[in-house]
Amino acid sequence: MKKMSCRKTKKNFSAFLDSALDSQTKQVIREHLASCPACFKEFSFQQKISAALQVKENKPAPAEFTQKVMAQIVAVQKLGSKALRSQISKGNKAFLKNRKVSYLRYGFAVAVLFFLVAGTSFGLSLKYPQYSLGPFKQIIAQNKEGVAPSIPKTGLGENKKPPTNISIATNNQPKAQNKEQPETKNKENKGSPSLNKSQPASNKASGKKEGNNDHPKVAVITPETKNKNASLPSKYEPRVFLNQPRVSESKLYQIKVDNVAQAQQKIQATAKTTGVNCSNLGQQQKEGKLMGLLQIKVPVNKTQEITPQLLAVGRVYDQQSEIKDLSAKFAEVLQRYQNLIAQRQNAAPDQAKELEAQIKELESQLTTWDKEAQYQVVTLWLEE
Amino acid sequence: MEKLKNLINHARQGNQDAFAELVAFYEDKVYGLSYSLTKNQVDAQDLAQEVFLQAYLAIRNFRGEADFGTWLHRITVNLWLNNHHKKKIKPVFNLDAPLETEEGKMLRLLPDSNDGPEEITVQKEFQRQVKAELKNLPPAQQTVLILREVEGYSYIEIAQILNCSVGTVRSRLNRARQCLQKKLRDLANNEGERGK
Repeated sequence: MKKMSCRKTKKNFSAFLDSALDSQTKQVIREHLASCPACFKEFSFQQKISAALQVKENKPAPAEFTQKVMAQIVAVQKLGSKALRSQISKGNKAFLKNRKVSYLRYGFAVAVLFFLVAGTSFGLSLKYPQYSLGPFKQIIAQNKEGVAPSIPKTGLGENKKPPTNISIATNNQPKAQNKEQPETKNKENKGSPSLNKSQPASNKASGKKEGNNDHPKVAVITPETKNKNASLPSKYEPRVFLNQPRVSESKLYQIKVDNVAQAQQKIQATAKTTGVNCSNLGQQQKEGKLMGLLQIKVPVNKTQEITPQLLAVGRVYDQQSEIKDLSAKFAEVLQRYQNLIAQRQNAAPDQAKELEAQIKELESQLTTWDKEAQYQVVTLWLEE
Repeated sequence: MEKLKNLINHARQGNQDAFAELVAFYEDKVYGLSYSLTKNQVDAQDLAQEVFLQAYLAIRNFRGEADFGTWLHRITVNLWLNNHHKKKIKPVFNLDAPLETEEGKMLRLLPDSNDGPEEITVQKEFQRQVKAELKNLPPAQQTVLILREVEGYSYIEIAQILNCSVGTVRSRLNRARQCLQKKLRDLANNEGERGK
């Protein structure tokens, strides 16, 4: 039988391992391995690697996985999954690649830009009415009459009649008032479709001054939507999320310490005094050395203040970070959320209730991501 | 088998209950591969959920030529490969990944908590090393190795999943194994030098 060179034999190792060779070639390789210790050693190593890979980690799907999948499917279906369907039919049918439809992205980007510009200018006109122009200024002045009658009534739109289809609510009441706000609004909705009067009245009662409206909440309601809102089954008000970048960052610090237990105690004490959440992930012994792992959730705005205190327990000899950008996911869900809110405005009472449930679900997801982006997860690896 | 066929047929007609039963039947299979590919639970769950969503939306296109599980794995692999490209630029940090030091690569392995013969520990550590290095292979090589070694698919099935020829599967597997072997040898050499 023809002999095989070492090079050719090695080339065939992979197929030999998988028994994907004809019997004659297999025999030639077997004979070569029997006579060549170097190739035999290499093949044994390949076998060892193959065996190691074949050890399957038993990872069952998490609890309630099916329910989650089905809930997601129901949500997508109710949203009207045209975009997703077209994505699949347009894409490579054989592969179902997860391509986003680019025009959706562009459309979304334009919409976001529009809302940002509109929102900013409207917000500015609320804060600085003296610089605002046209009907906006008039509306603001009308709405704030009760709060600050001294708003200077100068400007272009001064003598024009305010449009009757817009009302503005501000968030400048104290907390107790804020709690009552949704109810007050509903009462307003049932009332006259013209400018609401109860809002300035409540502002008056709160004794708040004009300058305190830090983050005005703007609601634009047309008479049509007012009537629809009046017929809604509940008083649920969707949350306003800013479509800004949301990034969650995790850091790993490897620290040499004199005593792991003491260092852990010290870190826990620091976490307690600084008011951050600290989880002890346990200790392990390796080669006579003790190792400890702790995880701390530090608010993003306090990392510079708190992290150095946590690291002071020893000498940091390595650090790594992982940045998870939630922005794309957030923007995607936010778009769905906004679509649902829009659908709800025009929906019949029964349908509105159903939509509201979906809105709440998405809102809770958005809130979770929003919170996630507010913390940095710091993992401390302590080593003696 | 017949029951599965019926479920698939009903699901193709839009029956959500039938699809839910299919999800329950295949969830471990899909999640298992998702975990092998992503190596973390959060991403594995996201990926597996996305797989079933895509499968639901495309189940009408499923003609029954391949096994339904293989079809789901095909979606899994392609979604992962596609997402992997997107994530490429992001710095990824993994507790199992070897630590790059001036003296070469060093494993940052959590010590095994199971007490047992030294041999078992050595074997387990080797398995971890192999799986950690597997992550450092190019995605296409990782995929083919996982499908062959972990999932146990034949060359023909892998070719179907990856939509390529059997010859491509064979050569890709060969390259992947050689690449992995080299990485492990380099790692062992580095550790040996450090130990001196």
